[in-house]
Amino acid sequence: MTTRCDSISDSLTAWIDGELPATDEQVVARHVADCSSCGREAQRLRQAIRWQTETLPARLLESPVDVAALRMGLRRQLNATRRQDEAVPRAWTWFLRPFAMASAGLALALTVVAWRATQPEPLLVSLGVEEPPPDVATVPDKFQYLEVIENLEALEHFEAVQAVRLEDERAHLDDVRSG
Amino acid sequence: MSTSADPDVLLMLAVQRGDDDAFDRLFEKHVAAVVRFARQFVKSQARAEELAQDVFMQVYRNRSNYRPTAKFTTWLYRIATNACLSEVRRPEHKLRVDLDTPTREVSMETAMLDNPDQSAEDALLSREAVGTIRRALEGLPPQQRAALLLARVEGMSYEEVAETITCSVSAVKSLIHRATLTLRNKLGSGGEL
Repeated sequence: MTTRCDSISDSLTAWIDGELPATDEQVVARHVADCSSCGREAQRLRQAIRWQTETLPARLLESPVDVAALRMGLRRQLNATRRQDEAVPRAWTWFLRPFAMASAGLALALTVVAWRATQPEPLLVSLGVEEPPPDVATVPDKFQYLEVIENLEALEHFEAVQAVRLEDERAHLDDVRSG
Repeated sequence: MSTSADPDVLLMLAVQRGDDDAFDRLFEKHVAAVVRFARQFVKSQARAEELAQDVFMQVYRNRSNYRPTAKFTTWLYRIATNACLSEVRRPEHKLRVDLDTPTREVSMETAMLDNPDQSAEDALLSREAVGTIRRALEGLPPQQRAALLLARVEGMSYEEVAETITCSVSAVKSLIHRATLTLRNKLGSGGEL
């Protein structure tokens, strides 16, 4: 068997099945006619393919299939799918109903107002009208940098900021106030 | 055959328009073949039937995506092949195989139940032959098995097989050649079955 035989051998099944392009088909046919080894292999393959083509469908078709039972099962699945498909748009239409939307909006607004009522207003706290949140008194550590945070606008003129200790700054301010 | 001349394509287009009777007709026409195809990838008839139902559920769900560019069976078996190859890849497939493999011996009585018209001896020989063929097919890698079944049982051309299992025609040529040789080596040319 030659290298040529190897490459022809790979195409023998497709050749017997009539699945080769015309040019390749002629090449294989010529080789099989001239090469006794490939000719014998083609003969054996042709026999096997004929047997497979006749026997596989016949043997594998023997097991009975209850089509009616399968159809009933499929209908059940289809009905379940359709119910699901219908349920999804129904949920969306509920959300789109104007009354429902208005009620939901009102409920949300009331919740926000009620929540805000329990919280001190920052402006009123700074004016001394309202008491600051209880945390200011109970956890003073959280608010130790409050003064710095309130003066953050100084960072807009960062080049003018000088590193001054807070105590020195307070002393300077007291001097200025006392004249 | 052009796709417009394929009656199944016309039925599928009717399914797209909401015709449930057309879907019933497609189901009745093809479900048995899909069950038998699936049966070569799973070890129980019940699982093959479940898979076939899943395949037709997918056909129904994807009806709006169907384009009549090829024969209906090409599209149908693409779904079926994907379902079968996914099933084979599932880790629990091996366990399912072991659980589902029948443990009863093939007897004259059980063999006759399959086909009462056959003599007991013929029925037994027939069951044994089917078992031998099944074992030989099981020995093939799943893609070779799919390509061979589509060509030899469903009668598809290599081009249709390529479209169905989504690979090139030259890959199909190689898959079918190797599968044919393996089956020939295991089963001979069939004279003994």
